[in-house]
Amino acid sequence: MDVMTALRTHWDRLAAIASVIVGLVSLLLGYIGVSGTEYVVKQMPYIIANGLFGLFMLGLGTALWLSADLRDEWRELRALRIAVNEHGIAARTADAEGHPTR
Amino acid sequence: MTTAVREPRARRAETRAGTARVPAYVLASQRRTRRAVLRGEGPWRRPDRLIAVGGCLLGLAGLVVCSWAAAGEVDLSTQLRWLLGGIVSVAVSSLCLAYSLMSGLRTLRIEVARVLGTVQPAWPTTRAGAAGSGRAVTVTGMRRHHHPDCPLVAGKQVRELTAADIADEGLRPCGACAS
Amino acid sequence: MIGRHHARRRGSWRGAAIRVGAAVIALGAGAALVLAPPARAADSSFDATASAYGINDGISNPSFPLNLVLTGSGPVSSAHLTSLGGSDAFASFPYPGDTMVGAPGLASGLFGVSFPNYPLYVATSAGDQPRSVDYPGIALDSRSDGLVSESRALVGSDVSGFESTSRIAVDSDGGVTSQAGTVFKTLQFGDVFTLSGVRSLAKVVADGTGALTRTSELSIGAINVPGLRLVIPKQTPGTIPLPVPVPGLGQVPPLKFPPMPIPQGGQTLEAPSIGFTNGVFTAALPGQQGKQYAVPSEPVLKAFAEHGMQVTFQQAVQTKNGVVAPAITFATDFPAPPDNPYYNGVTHATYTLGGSFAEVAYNAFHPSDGVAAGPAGIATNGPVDSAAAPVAPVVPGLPPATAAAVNLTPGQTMRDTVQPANFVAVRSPSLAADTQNLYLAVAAVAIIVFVAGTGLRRLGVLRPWM
Repeated sequence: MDVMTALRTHWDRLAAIASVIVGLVSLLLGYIGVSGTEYVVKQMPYIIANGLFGLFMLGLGTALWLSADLRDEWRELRALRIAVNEHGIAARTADAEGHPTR
Repeated sequence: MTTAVREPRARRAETRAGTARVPAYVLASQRRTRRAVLRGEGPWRRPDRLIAVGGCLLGLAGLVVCSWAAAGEVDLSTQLRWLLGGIVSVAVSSLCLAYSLMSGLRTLRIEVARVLGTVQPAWPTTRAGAAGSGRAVTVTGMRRHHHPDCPLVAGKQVRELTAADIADEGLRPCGACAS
Repeated sequence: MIGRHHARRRGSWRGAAIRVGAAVIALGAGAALVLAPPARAADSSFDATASAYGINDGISNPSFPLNLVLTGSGPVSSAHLTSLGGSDAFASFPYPGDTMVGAPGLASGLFGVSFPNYPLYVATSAGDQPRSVDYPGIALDSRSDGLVSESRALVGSDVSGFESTSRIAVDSDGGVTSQAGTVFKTLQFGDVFTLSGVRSLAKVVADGTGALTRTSELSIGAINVPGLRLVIPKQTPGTIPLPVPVPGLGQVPPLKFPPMPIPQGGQTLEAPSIGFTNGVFTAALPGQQGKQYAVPSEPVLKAFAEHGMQVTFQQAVQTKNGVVAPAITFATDFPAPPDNPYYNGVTHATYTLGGSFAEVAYNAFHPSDGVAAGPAGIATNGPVDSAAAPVAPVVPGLPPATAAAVNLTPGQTMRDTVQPANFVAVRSPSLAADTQNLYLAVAAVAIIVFVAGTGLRRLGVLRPWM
């Protein structure tokens, strides 16, 4: 499988990695900002912009990775179903006595 | 659910010799379908994808608005309202993503059942005349017990089970061979 | 048995639930211990006040009608706390006085028209959320709750500005600490002289029995006066007046000592950097940097006078329940402007630094004898700046100021008619720590979500549901 096909196939995992990295960086920057000021009014924007955003990105990354696994399962199942159907059709065509198999 | 792949048909004459020779056009069709499977969109319907993407965009927009608004406030009570808005935005997007994941999972489980339903007719069981009638086998690592002829254990190192073994290990019957 | 398998799963879930529940209970108990307010001595009451005024200035001119003296002060901070739940504090700069601050509210009530409140003022009372006002170069904070009342007025920055702080807090042993102070990093009076490191402090600590410990201080790190020439006397004077009278004994007569030679006596110091601590000028002698010696006040006062500045000093005043920190007043006359129809004559200006005030009226009741024990005073003066510890004996201090030269008005009260400013939490280690913990909690939730998803992937996405 060439690189482009691999990227297209695993776009969800790449997006998940990117989301997690962005989320962790956001959390780190937010903590630096929060710890750098003593005034709550100046800390609150960091909580919203960095804390909640980091939470959002980590959640998105987790969801993307789980969806990638689900998609893999889906592909395996589809391939298995095709293989089963092919085997069943071959058996049907091999057995021409009319025993129904589906 | 989705049926993006159509099973190819094989001509009877090409398998009359008894060998599993598949016509060329069938092979070509299978390659196309396998490519389609590999690049398949997954177990999500269009509404599920719309909900996931829409929820994420909504949450992201809400976070941007709330953080921008909170940064311009010096009133803590007002900032707390924007914080609540940000939390709601994250919650909405989380719910949408969770719904999308669960929807895909549901589709996947249905597909699993369909595949297992396909497997059984494709390999009709011969329980009545089988020498191992009533026998059950399993493979290490599996959570179900199978008929010895079940295709899901074909070619694998099986071990025979007694009723007591099935009960002790808590194995469930295979959905395909219903052993 | 299948049932045993399910029983094992139920048992594992039950054990996990028990462990989680025990952890929650332990966390809750720990939080209750940490967050529980400290207990105060039973059957005791108190009324505490702390005020700091920065600079009090007064300007008078013959052109002012009715010979009014324009006064102003700032930055000002004040706090008040009682055992009955009364708690209020305010901070302001520049502080125009109670009348001007309350005028908009009074006018609104009289005329039915909404007037804007004085913006450079923030106040809180019991039950209010902490409030703050931020303007370029001015930060005012105020906070009042049941155990702490504090306010802060900062002009400039923490590095190069000046601030007044007042704080009253109930201690963990049931005592009360009242503290007010002013810090000026640098204060320049035109080209006459410059003060650096001005610090005024008044502090009263009442322990659970009602015994008071008073502390006060006025120190100036450096006074730079252009043209100051300081001649070190050759020997010490024959008498040394004690700077603060011992409580209950009245003014103690000055001590008499035989004159002793002073190191480097007779030497003239050109434009030295002079310090000031609680009524005593200090200077570093040449070749002995790092040590501060008390120097006679006459040449210092003479140098000020040559620049048109009169300096007077008021020692710390101990009140029944508190202390007023020492104050120093600089008075000068600005020359009359050219004749004009509006403003003529010499302008007399006075600037008073210090005078921070702290007080705790503490009454600890003793059930055995049924008599309320009033505060027992333990007066201390100081702490004297360690850098100013004199090696030479203390020389006579400054001539004391008259009572009229220092205006010390403790106990400002909050105006209910003042509309609350937009509020923000006061700079407080506990509040900042709470918000920081909130951020850490958000980050922890994010990490937990990610770890849970990773764990689910390890298990297999279908496994829990198959």
